[in-house]
Amino acid sequence: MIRDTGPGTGIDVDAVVEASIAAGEATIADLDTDEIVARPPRSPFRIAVHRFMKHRLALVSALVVALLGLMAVFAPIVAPADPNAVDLSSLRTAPSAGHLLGTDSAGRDVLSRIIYGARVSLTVGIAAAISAAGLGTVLGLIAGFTRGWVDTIIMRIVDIFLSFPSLIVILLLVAILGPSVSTIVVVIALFEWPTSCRIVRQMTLALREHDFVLAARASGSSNLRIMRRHILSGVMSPLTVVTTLLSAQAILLEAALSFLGLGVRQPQASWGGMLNEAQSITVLEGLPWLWLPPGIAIAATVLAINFIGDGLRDAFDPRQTR
Amino acid sequence: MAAAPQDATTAPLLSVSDLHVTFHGDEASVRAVRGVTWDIRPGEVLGIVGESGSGKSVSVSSILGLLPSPPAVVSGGPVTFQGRDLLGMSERELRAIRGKEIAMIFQDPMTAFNPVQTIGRQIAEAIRVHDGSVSRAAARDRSIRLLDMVGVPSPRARFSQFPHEYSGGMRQRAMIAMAIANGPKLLIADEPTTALDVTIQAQILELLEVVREETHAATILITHDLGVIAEVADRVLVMYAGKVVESTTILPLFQSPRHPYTLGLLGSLPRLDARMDTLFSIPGQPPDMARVTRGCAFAPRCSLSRGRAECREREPELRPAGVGWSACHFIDEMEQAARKVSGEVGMDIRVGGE
Amino acid sequence: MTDTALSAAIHNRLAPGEQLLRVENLSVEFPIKSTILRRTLGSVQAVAGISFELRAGETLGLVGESGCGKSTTGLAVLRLVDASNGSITFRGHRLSTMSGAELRPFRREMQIVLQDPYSSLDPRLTVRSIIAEPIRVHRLAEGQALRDRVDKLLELVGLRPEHGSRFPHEFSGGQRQRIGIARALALRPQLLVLDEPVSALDVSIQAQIVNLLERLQDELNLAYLFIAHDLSVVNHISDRIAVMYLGKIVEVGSRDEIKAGPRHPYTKALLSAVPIPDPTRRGMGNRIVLEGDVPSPASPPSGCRFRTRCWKAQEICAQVEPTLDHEAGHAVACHFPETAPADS
Repeated sequence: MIRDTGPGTGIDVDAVVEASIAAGEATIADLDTDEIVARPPRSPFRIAVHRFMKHRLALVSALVVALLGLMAVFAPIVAPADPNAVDLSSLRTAPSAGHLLGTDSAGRDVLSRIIYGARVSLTVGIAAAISAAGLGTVLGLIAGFTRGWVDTIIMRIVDIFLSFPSLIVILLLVAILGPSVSTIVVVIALFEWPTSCRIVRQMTLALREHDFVLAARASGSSNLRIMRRHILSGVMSPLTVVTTLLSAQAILLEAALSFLGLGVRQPQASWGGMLNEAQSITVLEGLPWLWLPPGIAIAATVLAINFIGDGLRDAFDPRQTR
Repeated sequence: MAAAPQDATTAPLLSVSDLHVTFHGDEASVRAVRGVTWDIRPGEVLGIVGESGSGKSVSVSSILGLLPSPPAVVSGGPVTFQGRDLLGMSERELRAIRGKEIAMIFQDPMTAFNPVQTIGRQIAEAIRVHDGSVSRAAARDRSIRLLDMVGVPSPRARFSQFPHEYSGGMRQRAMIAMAIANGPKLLIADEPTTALDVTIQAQILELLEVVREETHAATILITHDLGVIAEVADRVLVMYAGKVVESTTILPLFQSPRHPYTLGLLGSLPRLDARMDTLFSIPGQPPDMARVTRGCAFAPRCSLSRGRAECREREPELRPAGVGWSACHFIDEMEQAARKVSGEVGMDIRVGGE
Repeated sequence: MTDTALSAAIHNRLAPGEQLLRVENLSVEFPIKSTILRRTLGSVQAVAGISFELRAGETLGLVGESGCGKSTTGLAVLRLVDASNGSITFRGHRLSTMSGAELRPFRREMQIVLQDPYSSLDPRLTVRSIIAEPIRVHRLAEGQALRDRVDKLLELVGLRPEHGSRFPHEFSGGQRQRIGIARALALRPQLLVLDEPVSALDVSIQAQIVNLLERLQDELNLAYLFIAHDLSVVNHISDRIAVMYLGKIVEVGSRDEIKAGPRHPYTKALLSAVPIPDPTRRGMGNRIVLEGDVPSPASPPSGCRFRTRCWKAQEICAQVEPTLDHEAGHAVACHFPETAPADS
């Protein structure tokens, strides 16, 4: 039995409760509680998962992205050849038995490069999106919850970032800092965080008006605790959707950078880098296997991620009609 | 106070017969109204009492075709108004009746009014929609007179004001004005005072009485408040889980209630006019209308049932009970049940008792 | 004062009837800000200088219609909203001037139950987490001890320990209110502010919750500040009642005194306006119907705030604001209070 800790006389609440339960007082009879216990607990998360499963397009897309991920991770096993292995005897050869998607200008197997290229795209996409979302969430929470001048300052910073012509600045920064996967991730994140910040702030503003926040304050919870425990979990749903869509954007940005030669350095395989070859008319017209595969890969990945985003949005907020 | 004509030869104004309303959702179907039959005579006030999920609002909205369909499916019937079946009518035919023969007053006056148009204009529109021959000026005059009749101060000035410039009570008055603008034979008031402060509620109830005397319209008053019913109604329907469980005239409902749910409701009301030891609490909660139950829907919560087999297996039909009707297998045990509830509460819950 | 000394001073329980809370001249103002420049244009006095006390084990009903300031009063007492004037004293300690850190031990003694069962529980947390949260914040228990304490609280409000692993959306409105009550009791407070706790519930469920609250009060020696607009419920559950109008308390007295002999015209009108579930009382002509609407709190009438709707208003009512003598038992703020007891 738990005693009321602390000095002074106290009512032994537990004894009172025990006695009350033992007396089986009929004033409280709640019959339907039996029914509730019969079903397994359904957290809002499980309900969302269940709804997501119903969205066939999203489900298929999730499968596709999962496969891509696996392909990227197990690239050494899946790829038929070393992506950087130069074969000077077969430059720009069309698809054949030995090279299912042909070879590029340096005699490297296109299919293997596609497979390894997934690594760059997915890494950049996910890392940039998560960093952007992370930064945006922290600042959005603080802005929305504390309000006042802190909110004003953060939102003005967001406005400043949003008013930059992002692509040009990204190009400049990468040119200055030198291209590498980490630089690209950082730079892309720097331009994507305002979106998530705004959304998180919006949700925070709405959530903090709910009574359970008031109750938490009445219990003596600190602002930090309330933000962490109540607001953050409420913000997760739209945040997940936004992060998904941000990663699609990041993949496109990385592809653009690599296409312009400012992305991942050759000879490392990257889809955007492979598209670089498509800059000449000869390639475009005569050698489709050099640019179609990476183009389709990018498009398919981005499309799949967008469908997943749609599915997530519907899963979390079923009121949006299909 | 004008009494409703009680002679049985008066034909009913509106007659509802075996009405069913089901909502088909993604996961389940909700049978909101499960076979409801009643009628209302000209000039009388019919009160429909029930809690959330009882189907009281849905049943009435379905009569006027106001439910979005899908997902609502209205079946059964006929619902006869002045000799015509409302359920079989097209939207055009219904629109000719809504606002003219049958008018509705809602709980939230904001749903009836367009926030970007002046109140006066909207009332005038309501008049001209149903009678194109009325000129703008004539409609305006009539609207101002209506606003005056319902007690809106400075009606001439208020005619050109927007809904947000009116207070809650005034908006409700304006909504009543709009409802009676075309002299309806039937007024349906769906929780008209629930959102109002009690002193404003008193004003509105008084107004509804004035309106009734002036227009001789029959009124259906939907509410969860038995006090309001006691004040205003001639006859009462008590609804639970989509069905009518008791139907009778006003005084017998309070003097000798014939359904355990009615007893429970009466016992659970805290009273200003009497001292109660404790409130009678009906255990459990209203049922989940998505799951069709066998037997009486009230049985799990019923102190009279005590788990008896008939209650669990057969749904009781409305049977004559005293001067009214009750849907209970054990109507003859009602006296004991009433005494038991009264005993718990510490006063006789029936009017005319101690 | 050291922590342990403070603990001893406030955490033990008073005998019923001893003064627990004293509110003096409390005012709460909300600034009206212009939308463009966010300048303060003026202010609305939601609460305009009220005083009352609450004793251990008793229920003080705070009743009034919308805009009277009763909910704001409840929030101000718990320092969830800042008072612009006046003092709030809990067992001799002035809460109104304390910092957040100083206030923390006092939060254990005063908790709140809110009106809306749908927004008062975090939908993403299990019921167990919701109830355990205050205990965790104050580090009063952990691990198995915490689990046991939460289980006991669930049973106390008529639910079962198995319900702890469920989520709020799986429960009905009445059950959610029970969970809210369990959370409020988690810290074993001496005082509960209940802000319209049953207004959003069906009538049959209201009775369950009212009965529960009464039982808990008896067993745990709780004091209730019961805020509601429904006079019938307030009358049933309260020992004393304070009637508020436009930010002021116009009358305060015991439940029986107020009901049998309301002295303020507003109280009289309020009591007469409540529809009684008894058709034989129809048309008895004893209902007072007030004229007009409640004035805006942003620009209250001069003198007595009720005078614009009062049938007794005279010149003096516009010039001199009547005061409430809150030392007396049954007190009224009116220049022409009713004297004879009302007909029942």
